[in-house]
Amino acid sequence: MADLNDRGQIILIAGVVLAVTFLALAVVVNSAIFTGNLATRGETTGASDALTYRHEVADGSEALAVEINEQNTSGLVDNAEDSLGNVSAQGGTQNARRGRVVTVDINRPGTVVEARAQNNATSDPTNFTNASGETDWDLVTEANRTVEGEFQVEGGLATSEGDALHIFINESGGSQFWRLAVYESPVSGVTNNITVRDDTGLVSTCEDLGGTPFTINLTAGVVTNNPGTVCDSELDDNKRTYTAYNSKNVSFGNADRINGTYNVTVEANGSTPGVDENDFDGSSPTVTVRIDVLDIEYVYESQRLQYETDITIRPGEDDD
Amino acid sequence: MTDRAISVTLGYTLTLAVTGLLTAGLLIAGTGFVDDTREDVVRQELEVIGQHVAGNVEAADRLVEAGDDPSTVTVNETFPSRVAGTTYGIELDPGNGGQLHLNATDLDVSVTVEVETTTAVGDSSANGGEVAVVYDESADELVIRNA
Repeated sequence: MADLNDRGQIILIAGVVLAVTFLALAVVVNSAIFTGNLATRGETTGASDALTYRHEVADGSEALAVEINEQNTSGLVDNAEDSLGNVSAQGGTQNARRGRVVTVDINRPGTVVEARAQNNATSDPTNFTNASGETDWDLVTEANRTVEGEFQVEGGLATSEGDALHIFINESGGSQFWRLAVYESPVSGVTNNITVRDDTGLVSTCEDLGGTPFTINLTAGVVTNNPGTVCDSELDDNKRTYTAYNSKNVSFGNADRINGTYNVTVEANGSTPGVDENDFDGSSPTVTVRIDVLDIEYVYESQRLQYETDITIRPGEDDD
Repeated sequence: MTDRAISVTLGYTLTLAVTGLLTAGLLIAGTGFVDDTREDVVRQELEVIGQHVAGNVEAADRLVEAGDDPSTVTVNETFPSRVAGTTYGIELDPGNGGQLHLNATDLDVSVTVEVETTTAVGDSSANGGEVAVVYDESADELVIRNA
């Protein structure tokens, strides 16, 4: 009878082995079920939502910048910052309900504001005085760069440097200055001259430019008349010492001692170049101040996604 | 006379032999089936995980391309740390236009998934679990790592 008690051992061992096999099978089946579940999931990270909201912010901010450009000539960057703050607060609340944090803020150093001052004398050249007839006045202040400075000289020039039209580019709030005088030469047989001085003294002169008209192009660093270039080195980069000023004002002195047209365009990063609207009117001279580049910091965070990027907007330009 | 052909010893022997044969057959067939099924499941699951990781790499690529020099792009997703009982590794290979190689640790199962991105991908790897696709701004490439 002792042998009868041992008969169950093989069945017991077999049962244990089978149980282990079934457990392994259960793990495999469970994994297969999870695979099926995973395979049928769509995009779960929210990347599409981040991109969609980014485009909404970009579109809305462009419309915002266009509106600011149309309505303002001062404080453009501050206006944009305030408005984007509202966008961030409103959008942030909506996104928080969906479990994500979204912030939108202006990147001031990357934001560029352009100011363009010009007189529009087309058939009857005028002098360079302001709308009130003042001869010494500031076109624009606190600009970082002069991106365009073109002066078409038709005539009406003084006959000495002291009385001449002066184009000043001065350091804002500082003592450095740069000035260019345009005048008829007092020397017989010599036509028109240009003299450039800065706070260190005489920088350069260009004499006997020929008759009018001629064009002074500061950004190109040349003076041209009908045959061609007449001053090709006197306004070189190293002669335009004002480019080193971080912030600069562009002004005219003796603005009645010239007839012609001008177009001065400056830019500032993170601030709005200063213009006095009283110096301009609707016809000539005119000024436009506009956000040229609106740089936005966009941050989108969810459990599965962190996305930080700049959005660069050029109002009025097609970004496709 | 009726029990002349019956012996207790023979009966036990026959019973044990038949039981042993049946059990051995069942075990051999069962474990073989389970092993085959396990390999299939591991392969399928690695393919599915690979496709998801590839999707995340491509999503990160879209975010990078849509952004203006983005400073941070991270796409996380949590996957099982083991598939059918085995751990696995994921390698992002910049060769052949970008590929993901998923290798099971305990089994001889490997899966390759193509990745198509505009941004370059960097040679990088991660284990199963929470896998992050990260944009390395300094190298201007996408890499994977464990979050």
